Amino acid sequence: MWEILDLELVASGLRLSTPLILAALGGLFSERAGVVNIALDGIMIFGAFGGAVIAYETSNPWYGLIGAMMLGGMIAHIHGIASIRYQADQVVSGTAINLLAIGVPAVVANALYNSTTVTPNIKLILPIIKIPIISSIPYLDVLLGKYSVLVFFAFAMVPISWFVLYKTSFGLRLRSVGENPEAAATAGINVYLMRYYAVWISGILAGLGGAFLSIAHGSSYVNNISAGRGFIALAALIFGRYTPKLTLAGCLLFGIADAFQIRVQGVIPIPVQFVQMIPYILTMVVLAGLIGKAQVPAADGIPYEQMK
Amino acid sequence: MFKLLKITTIVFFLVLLGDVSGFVIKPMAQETNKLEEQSLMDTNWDEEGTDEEDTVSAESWQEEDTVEASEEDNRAMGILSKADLEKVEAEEKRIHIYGFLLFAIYVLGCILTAYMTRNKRIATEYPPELLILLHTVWPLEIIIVLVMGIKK
Repeated sequence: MWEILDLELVASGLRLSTPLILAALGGLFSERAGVVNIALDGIMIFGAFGGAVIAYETSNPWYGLIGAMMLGGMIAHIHGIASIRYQADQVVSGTAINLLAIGVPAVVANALYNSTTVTPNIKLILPIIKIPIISSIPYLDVLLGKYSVLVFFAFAMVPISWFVLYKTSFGLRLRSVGENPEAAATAGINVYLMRYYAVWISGILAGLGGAFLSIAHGSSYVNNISAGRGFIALAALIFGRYTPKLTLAGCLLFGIADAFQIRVQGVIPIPVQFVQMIPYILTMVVLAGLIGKAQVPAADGIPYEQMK
Repeated sequence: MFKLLKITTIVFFLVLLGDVSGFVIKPMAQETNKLEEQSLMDTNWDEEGTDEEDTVSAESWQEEDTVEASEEDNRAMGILSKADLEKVEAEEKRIHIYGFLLFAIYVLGCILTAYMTRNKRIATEYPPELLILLHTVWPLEIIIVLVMGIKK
């Protein structure tokens, strides 16, 4: 039992937390601007599907990555139009995107490849990068030795997001429309535009998170590839109290829990189904303990209507 | 500053062109191979040199170089030789370098376009929904901005 608790577990956790980090950072931008983005899971599925199809058709995973970003951005934009322009209930709009993500990829995959559940394997996945000096140091090589390029990108996005949100005028405007949109509008900020930007960025990042699953961690799209990771990312965001650093901690916790459930299967005499529940149970425990304590942006989920 | 954005757009298209030419040439090479195959299929094999067959049968097969035979076997079994592997690796490297460049330029273009066009007509006179859509396909947006005029 104890032999599974090694550095490989942490390395695997880092790898599995990558889609969570990307999606959670996406959610962070959206929620900070006052738009609840429960559609993260659906956007991840669309990103994974779009990425896999484009990477397969062009034989180039990078085109898949760019395609996933574009598709993620556009799907999030649908959520944005519904919830910002038409002031639809943001949870309902997000749920509709999640439901679309169950059906649309299946229909398109069936039309393209005669299969509703999988796309063909891509020949080339995103490159795995070895850090030259670290990969020759005994223990660090296991921990930080070689990861997909998207893993490094995801971890780099944490300080970048922090910088954008807290150190730029764009971040200040974005947070202000999430806290008090009326005051922001009085100060001359275009609330709609800032919210659209936030939702668009969240879609791009969630799309990248999905693409990681299909063209970096795996080599094809399979039905429901995200397996609820978008919702876990939301939990990590609440765990992180809507700040990038703590959100990263939440994602690492869930990623390592996911790695643990994979490694523990067959090691302890418990049915696999119960072991697979570990990350989801952890999500519920964390949410039950922290949901009241998290400082939610004041205008989160409240539609803004411009005064005429 | 807008010049920088125009340069980014040009670089984006150049890299795209460079990469696309890579996988346009490949199908062309495959076409050439197909033509060669066809010319072989056109050959009347019944009339093809029976004399050569005799020389082949007269050869001492035990003395034949085994390396060539093993390479042919490998090829038949789908195992790549060292030279083929190097070629594949070089091609993969090319794809990754061009791909990374494209990805980086796309991300940079998204940020630059959003920043540069924030006070332009396209951002102030049209609905924000359109602006966000255009940011997603920013090379198109640059063209539209150039056509519409870039003045405030």
